[in-house]
Amino acid sequence: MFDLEKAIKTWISSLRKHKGFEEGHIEELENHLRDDIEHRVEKGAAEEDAFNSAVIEIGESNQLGEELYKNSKKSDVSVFKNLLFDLPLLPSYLKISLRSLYRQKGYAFINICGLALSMAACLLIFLYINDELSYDQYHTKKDRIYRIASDIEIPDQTLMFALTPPYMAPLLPEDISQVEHAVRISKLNALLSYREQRFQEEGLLYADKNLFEVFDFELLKGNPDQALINPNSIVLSESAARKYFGEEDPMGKSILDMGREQEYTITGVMKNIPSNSHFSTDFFISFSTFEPIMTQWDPGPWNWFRLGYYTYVLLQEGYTGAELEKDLVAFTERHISGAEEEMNQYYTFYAQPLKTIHFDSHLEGEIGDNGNITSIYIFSVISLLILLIALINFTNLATARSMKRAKEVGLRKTVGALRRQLALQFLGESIFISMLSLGIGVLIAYLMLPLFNSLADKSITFNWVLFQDYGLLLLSFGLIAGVLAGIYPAFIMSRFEPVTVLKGVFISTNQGNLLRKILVTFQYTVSIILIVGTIVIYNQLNYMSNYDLGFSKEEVILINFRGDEGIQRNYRTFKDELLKHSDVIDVTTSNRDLSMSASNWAVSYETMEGENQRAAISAYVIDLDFTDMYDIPVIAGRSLSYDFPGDTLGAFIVNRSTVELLGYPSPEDAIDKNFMQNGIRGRIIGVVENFNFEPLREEIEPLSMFFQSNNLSLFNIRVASDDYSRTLAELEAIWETLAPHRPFEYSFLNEGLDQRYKQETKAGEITYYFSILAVLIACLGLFGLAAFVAGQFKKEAGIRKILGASVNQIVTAFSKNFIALNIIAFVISIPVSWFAMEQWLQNFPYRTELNLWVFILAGALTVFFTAVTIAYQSVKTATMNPVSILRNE
Amino acid sequence: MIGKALVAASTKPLILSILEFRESYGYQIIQRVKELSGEQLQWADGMLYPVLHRLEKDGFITSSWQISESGRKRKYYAITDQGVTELQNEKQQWLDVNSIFAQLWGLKLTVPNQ
Repeated sequence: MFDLEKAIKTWISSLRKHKGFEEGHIEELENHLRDDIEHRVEKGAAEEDAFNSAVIEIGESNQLGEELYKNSKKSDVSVFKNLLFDLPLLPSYLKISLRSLYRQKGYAFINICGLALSMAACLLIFLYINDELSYDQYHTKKDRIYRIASDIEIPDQTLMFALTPPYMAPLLPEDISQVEHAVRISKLNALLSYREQRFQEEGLLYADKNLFEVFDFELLKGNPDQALINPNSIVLSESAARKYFGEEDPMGKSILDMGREQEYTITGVMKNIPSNSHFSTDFFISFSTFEPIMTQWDPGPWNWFRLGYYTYVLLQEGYTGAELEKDLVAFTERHISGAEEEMNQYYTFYAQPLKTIHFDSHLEGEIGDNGNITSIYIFSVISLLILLIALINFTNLATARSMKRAKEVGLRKTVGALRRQLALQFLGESIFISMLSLGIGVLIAYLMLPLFNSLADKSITFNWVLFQDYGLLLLSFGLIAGVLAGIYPAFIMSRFEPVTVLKGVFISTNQGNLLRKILVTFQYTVSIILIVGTIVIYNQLNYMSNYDLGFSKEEVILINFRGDEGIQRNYRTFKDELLKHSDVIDVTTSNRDLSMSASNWAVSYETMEGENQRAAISAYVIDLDFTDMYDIPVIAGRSLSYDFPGDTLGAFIVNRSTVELLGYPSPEDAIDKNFMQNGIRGRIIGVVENFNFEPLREEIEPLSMFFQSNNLSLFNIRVASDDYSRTLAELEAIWETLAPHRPFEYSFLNEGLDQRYKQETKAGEITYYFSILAVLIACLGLFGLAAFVAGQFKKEAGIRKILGASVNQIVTAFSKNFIALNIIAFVISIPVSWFAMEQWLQNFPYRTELNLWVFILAGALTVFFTAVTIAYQSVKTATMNPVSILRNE
Repeated sequence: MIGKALVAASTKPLILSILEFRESYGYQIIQRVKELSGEQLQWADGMLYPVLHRLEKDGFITSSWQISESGRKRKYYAITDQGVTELQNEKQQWLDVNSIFAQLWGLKLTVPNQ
C-alpha cells in the first residue's frame, strides 16, 4: 500500500541531507509538492503516480542543492549569515572533531600525552614559583619591616652576616625615632618536657617582648602585648601545645627545660606559623629569660662582635630602608666605634626589606634556608621550553598529517565548506585538544604534587582556591596554547583546493618542509642543551658529595654539651668511657664541628721581620688529638699532641692559607713565631694543609686551631656500626651515667655537611628530572614525525629498492633526513649550553670541568634517541615491497 | 520548445510580472506560467525557488508566510517598489530587442497599453 505521507517524509529527508537547504526552503518545497500532488489527484491520477510525477517535476535534489548553493555563495553577507547558521552546527563540528581524532588515535594520543605532561610540568613550576613569591606576604606590616644585616670588615676581606650584635635592638628605637620597634630574635635548642612528654627541640626562638607588634603571628590564646614580657615565658604553637599537653589547656602551666634546668610558663598559644615564612618555630621564649646571662659576660669590646642575634625593625610610614642605613652610620659611630678600633673590625649595617629575605638573601648565619632567584629563572625557562617542545610537536604532527586529511578537506569544500569555516574547524580541533590536555595536565599535576614536594623540599598544597584566582589565567593559557599550535596547520590545511586534492596530485609546499625542519632542529637544540645540563648537574652534585674535603668525615657522631663546665673539666674521663664502646673508634673534642663556620677572632702575630701585627683569623678550638682523628695532614712542624702537655696552653696550629696571609715565605718559616688569639699567648707549633671548613663555595680561608678547655662544647665520635640506632641508644645510655643532667644532643657530621648544599642540590635535582621530561616529550614528537616522514619516503624507498639498494642503504638514506638536522642542532647548542653551564658552575669554586666529552656525549645521546625512535619506521620502510608502494601511486 | 537560454533569461521578468499582478505562492506561479505559455515553457518546478530567493535577496520581491484555508502554511511572494522599477527595466530591454527583430523579420507588433 502506497503511503503518501511516508513517501513525502522520505523525500524531505533526502533533501535535508544536502547542505544549503534551510528549513524554510524545505518547507516551501514540501508545500509545492503537496499542491502538485493534490492537483494531479484532482485530475484523476493515482496517489503514487501523482507523487512520482510531482517529484520529477520538482527536479533532482542534486540540482536543487546546487542551484540554491550557487545562490548563497556569492555575497559576503550571506557567508556571514551562514557562519551564524553554523553556530548550531557547533555540536556537529565537535562530533566531527572527535571522530577525526578517533580516526587518528595514535597521533592524537601522542599529542595529548606530550601536551598534558608539559602542561603538568608548567603547572608544578608555577605552583613552586607562586609559593616562593608568597613568603612572608601575610604580615600586614610587611612593607615596613626590615632586617638589619652586618658587614664586617676585617683585614683583607669583608664578611656578610644576617646577624647583629645583641645591643642593637634595645638601642635603636632610642636613637632613631623613626624606628617604631626593634625585635631581637635568637635561636636555641632545648630538651623540653612536661610530665611524661619529653622531646629534644631544635630551632626554638627567643624574642623581645614586642615580637607581635612587628610580626603577624596570631595568638589563639594569651595576650600578644604581654606574652613575652616576663622572663621564663614561652608561647607555644598549636602543634607544640598538642604534642605536650594533648587536649589540656596549656595556659599558665609550666614546661621544663631539662638542659638549662629552668621552667617556662606558657603565656600563649599561637597558630602554626605558615610554611611560607623565612623563619618559623614552634616556640617563642621571652628574651628577658636570657638577659641575666648576658650581664655575666666579660666586659669588653668583643661583646659587640658576638653575632648571635637577628634584629628586625618596624619603621614608621614613609621612612625608608635607605634612610635607616644612613642613620645607622651615625649609630655605629656613637656606640661601636671604640670597640671597632680595639678589635680592628669595622661594621657597616644595612637594612633588608622583609620580602627580599627569603627570595635572595644568602648571608652568613641565615635563620633558615632561603630561596634563590636564579633557580626561579631557570625553572621558568625550563618549563617554558618543555611547553614549547610539546607545542612544536603538535604543530609538526598536524602539518605533517595535513596531507592525509587533504582528501577530507577537498570533499568538504565540494559541498560548500568555506575556507574560513574549515580553518575555524581545524583551529577548534586544536583548541579542543589543548583544553583536553590542560584538564589531564591538571590531574597529572595534582597526582604528582606529593612527589614534587619531596623533590623540591616544599609543602605546596593543591589549593582549589587557586582556581578561583587563577582559573581564568589557566583557561586562557590552554586557549592560547591551542591557538599557537593550531594556527599554522589550520591555515595551510584550509588552503587545499578540492580539485588538486581529489585528483590525488599533491605536492607539499617547500615552505612547509622548511618550517618543519626548522622546528625539529629547534627541538633538537633544546634537547641537547638540556641533556648537557643534566649531565653537568649530575656530575657536579656527585662531585660535591664525594669531594675530598681534606679531612675524613665518615660516620662521625657529634654530642653537643654546650660548654657545660662540669663536662669541660672532666672531658678526658668522658672520652675514655666513650671509647670503651665497641663501635667507637676515636673520640675528640672541639668548640664547633667542621660543618659549621669557624669562630673568627682577632690575632696578634709576629712577622718575618719580627714586628707585631694584627689580623683576624678564623679559628677552631680543638682537642690535642683532633687533627689526628680527622687525618688532617701536617706539612710543617707538628700537630698538637698529648705527648706534649704544654700544648694545652699557647700552642697554635695554622693552615697554609694563614702562612700566606701572615707573609711567611714557607710553612717552615711559621714555626715558632709568636701568636696570640682570643686572649691566649703562644707560638705556632705546626702548619697543616688547607682543608675545607667552611661551605665548599669559597676558597679556603686562613685558619688557626688551638686548645682552650673552657671553650669545648662538642664530642666528635668516630664510629663504625651496622646499626646506628642501636649504637646511638647505647651511647645515650653511657651518656646518662656520665652526665645525667645534660641531654644527649647528638647529630651526624655528614648531615651537617650535606645541609649546606641543600639549596643547590634541590635546584639541580629539579632541573635534572624536568630535563628528562623535556627530552622524553621531544622524543614523543619525533616518533610521530618519523611516522609521517616514513610515509613520505615510501615512494623514494620503493624506487631505491628497485634500483637495487639494500635495506641498510635505505635505512641510511632515511635517517639522513634527521641526522643532518641533529648535527646542525649540535653545533648551535654548544655555545649556548657552554655559557649556561659556566654560569651555574660559578656558584662553586670547586667544580667539575666542562669537558668537551660532555657535549659529545649529549650529541651522541640525541643521535641515539633519534635512531631508536625512528628505527621502527625506517626498517619498516626499508623492508616494504617496492612494487606495492609504487602501484599505489 | 523554447531553448534553455531564453527560458533562463525570461524567468525574472516573467515572475516579476506575475507578481505585479497580484501576490502569489510558488505552486501558483508555476501554474500561471504553464497557462500563459500553453505548456511551451517547461520549468523544472524546483528551478523556481532559487530564482525567487535571489529576487528576494536583491530586494525585488518580499515574502511572507500565510495560513491557507486548508490550514497549510504557505510562503507568499509580493513585488516591491524596487521590483516594479526593475520590471520596467527588463520590459524596456525586451521590447527594444523585440523591435529590432520586428524590423528584421517584418513583424507587426502590438504593444498593449500599460
